[in-house]
Amino acid sequence: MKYIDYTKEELKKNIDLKVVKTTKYKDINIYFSFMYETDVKGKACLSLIKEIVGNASEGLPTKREMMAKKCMLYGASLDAALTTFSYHNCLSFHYNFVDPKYLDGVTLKDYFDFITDTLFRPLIDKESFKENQKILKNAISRRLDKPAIYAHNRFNQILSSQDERFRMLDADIISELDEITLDDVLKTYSDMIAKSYIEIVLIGDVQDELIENIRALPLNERDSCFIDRDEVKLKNVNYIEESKKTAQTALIMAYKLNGHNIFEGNNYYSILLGNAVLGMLPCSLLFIEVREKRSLCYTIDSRDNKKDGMISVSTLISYKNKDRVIKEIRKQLFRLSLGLYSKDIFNMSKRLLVDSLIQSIDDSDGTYNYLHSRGYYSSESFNDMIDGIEKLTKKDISRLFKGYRHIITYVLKGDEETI
Amino acid sequence: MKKLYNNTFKEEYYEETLDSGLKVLLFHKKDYVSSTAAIGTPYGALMVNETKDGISYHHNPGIAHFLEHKLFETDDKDIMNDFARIGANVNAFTSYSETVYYFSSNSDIEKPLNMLLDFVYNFDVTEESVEKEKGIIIEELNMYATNPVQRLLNESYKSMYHNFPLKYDIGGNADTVNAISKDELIECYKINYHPSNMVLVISTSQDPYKVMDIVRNNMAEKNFAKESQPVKDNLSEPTEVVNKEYNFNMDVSMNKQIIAYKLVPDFKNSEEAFYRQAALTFLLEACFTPFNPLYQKWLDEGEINDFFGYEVDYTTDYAYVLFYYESDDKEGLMNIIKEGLDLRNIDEDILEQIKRKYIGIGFSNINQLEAFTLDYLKDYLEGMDFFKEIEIIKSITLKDVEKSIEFVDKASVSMINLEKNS
Repeated sequence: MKYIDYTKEELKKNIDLKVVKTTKYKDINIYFSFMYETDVKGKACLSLIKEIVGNASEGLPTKREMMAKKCMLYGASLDAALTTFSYHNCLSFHYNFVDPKYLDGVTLKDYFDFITDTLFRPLIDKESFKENQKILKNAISRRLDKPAIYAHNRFNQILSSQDERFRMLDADIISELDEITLDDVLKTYSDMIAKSYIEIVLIGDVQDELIENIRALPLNERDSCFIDRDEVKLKNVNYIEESKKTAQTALIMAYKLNGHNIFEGNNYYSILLGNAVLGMLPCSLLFIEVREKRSLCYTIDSRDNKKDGMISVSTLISYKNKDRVIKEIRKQLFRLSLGLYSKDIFNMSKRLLVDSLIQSIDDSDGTYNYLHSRGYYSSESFNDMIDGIEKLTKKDISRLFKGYRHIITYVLKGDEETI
Repeated sequence: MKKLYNNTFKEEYYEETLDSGLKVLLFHKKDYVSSTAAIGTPYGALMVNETKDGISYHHNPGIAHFLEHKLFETDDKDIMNDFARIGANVNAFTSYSETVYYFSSNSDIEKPLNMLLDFVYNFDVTEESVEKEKGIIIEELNMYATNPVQRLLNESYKSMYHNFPLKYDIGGNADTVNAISKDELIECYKINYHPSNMVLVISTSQDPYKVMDIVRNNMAEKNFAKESQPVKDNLSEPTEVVNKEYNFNMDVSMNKQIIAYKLVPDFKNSEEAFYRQAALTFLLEACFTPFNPLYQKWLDEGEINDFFGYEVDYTTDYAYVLFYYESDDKEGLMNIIKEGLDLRNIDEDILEQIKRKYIGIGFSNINQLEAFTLDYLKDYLEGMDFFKEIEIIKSITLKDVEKSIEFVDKASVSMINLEKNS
């Protein structure tokens, strides 16, 4: 069974169009992703563009007009997301429309006009710049009020002293927002449109008329490369403890897998599955040992940073249990590296990982995520990826994780008397 | 098995009530790879006091949530791992109004569907595992308590309600969790998990007749005595709020405020509650979003930022309207509410625009298999028909929307302030 059937077309050099034609959705999803390299200042500009686009445009110059238009298009939505990939950033815009065949009074052309107006003629002026600068700073501060997010920001800030690529998070952008000017934002927007690698993904019962309109967009070819495969180099930071007045303690432990190129052989799949065995699933070692057997936490999970060959474990705990939890996390990673866990756990993790990947393509965002990330790591098809994971053995996981090295244990100590 | 078709959404589905009383709804979603099944009981955190067969019960707040945690264990077996072995993801949640168990799977639905029905209808727990779970649940409650917005909302409920169980967190608190025993869990299970009180919703591309057979056969092997339905006992709740003003502190970057309007839920049924909730939501959307020209002025003058909004929740058990914002000015939000409502910025054009938006949202909600299955089930358990909501939205008139402003005069008001630590 072929899981994803899609076409790919190079519209111009470094502008790709991918189309998934399916009748299973009652909406049409259109994704525009702009990928290119920037420093922290550029990222701050992109963060503002993310807020501004969709608020007002040349055709819809006020928020009121924009809102009325979205409503008239039956709740048309435009969501923007900014993700970082080393120095490279990806600003993506997701348009969601109800398929006009289910509605009266709207056409595909109405949708397309809305896209061209909002995305290619946004109103970026002094007022929108100032307004969104303030809004963004508030939104970031609010995010950082959550201890788990604050802890992740501090963790990345600490690592960024060794490698600039970690300096891409909220806390860094806040200070940059005061430094950037309207001209910086306008230039970043213009570079984004003219120079970045662009990927356009259409998902739904997509009609030829829409594809033709996308092909005719006035976009020029560009020289852009967005893949940076330099491995991060990190020294051991060991242990850092800070505190915040909050009801729980956040703990993050990070490890680096050494001596392996993640893009070689089956390493990419091994880190995916190794992470699943360690802490991504309800059958994972950390969930079983730390939560279920010892009742030390409610949530504990591990994340793989595939590109940099890193694994990090995060949990929220009571401070009094900190040493026990750290000891358990170390122990489970050690077990993983030596294959000291049951075949049952290995098989369950594999099944769940494969199934969750397959389930992810049953919605448009999941399909987009797969198509979007494909160029980064692998040129293999979705079916090949599933086969690659299916073929892995415990030995493959041990081989990859054997050389792991502790980088940092970060503790954000909570004050349990706060509540 | 009755075959049904919804013409607006072009959805084919089936329904049947089994001998045990279990209601089954089955959506045939032809192009999807995965299947989702969800079974739920209208037993949520609000059911602290209930009556069945003439006997009144009072349970510790948080028990519905505790029971949800423990249903995943039986005879020292871990249900989650059993599902994982066959490649199915199983999960559950407890809300104020219901508890739901569900799975998603890409393979043949037979095994996971049987497993779902087996574990939900076979509760077996030990003292030891109940004690072990307490630590996990208390950490879960601590996690929610660290989220400033969640805490602000919970403090708002506490400031509104004297007796009504919305004043408790869904999971209770450390004291109530520690007080819960094995016997109390078993009692709650027996009262609230009879199939005649529950609904199963399935979305799958697999043959609906075969899938219904799986459910029928599984349930036919189980024995259920005829039972009456439990009834929620709502303690008498004064119309006045508990606190007209309540302040608390957290480590946050900006002060936040909620103004809560507590109302008497005088709705005949869930449909009327939904209708009146939608009418008021439309009014507030016209008055407190960019539809209102004052909105830009409020932004420009720094009176509001992106953390400004409202929430309407009308049910047959409770009704409230909340406004929230972020500012050091304690009087500012009330002034904005008055200014916005005074303008009464609604006419036929704006109403048509807002209606179109909500019709579009209805279509969007149907695309994600798992989310749709859970939404449909939740609506059903709360006495609503997912498909009917769109018809209700279409039928709302300008007069209804204008009338909905009466909430201001009928409510008792509470102001809750989350202040930065000094």
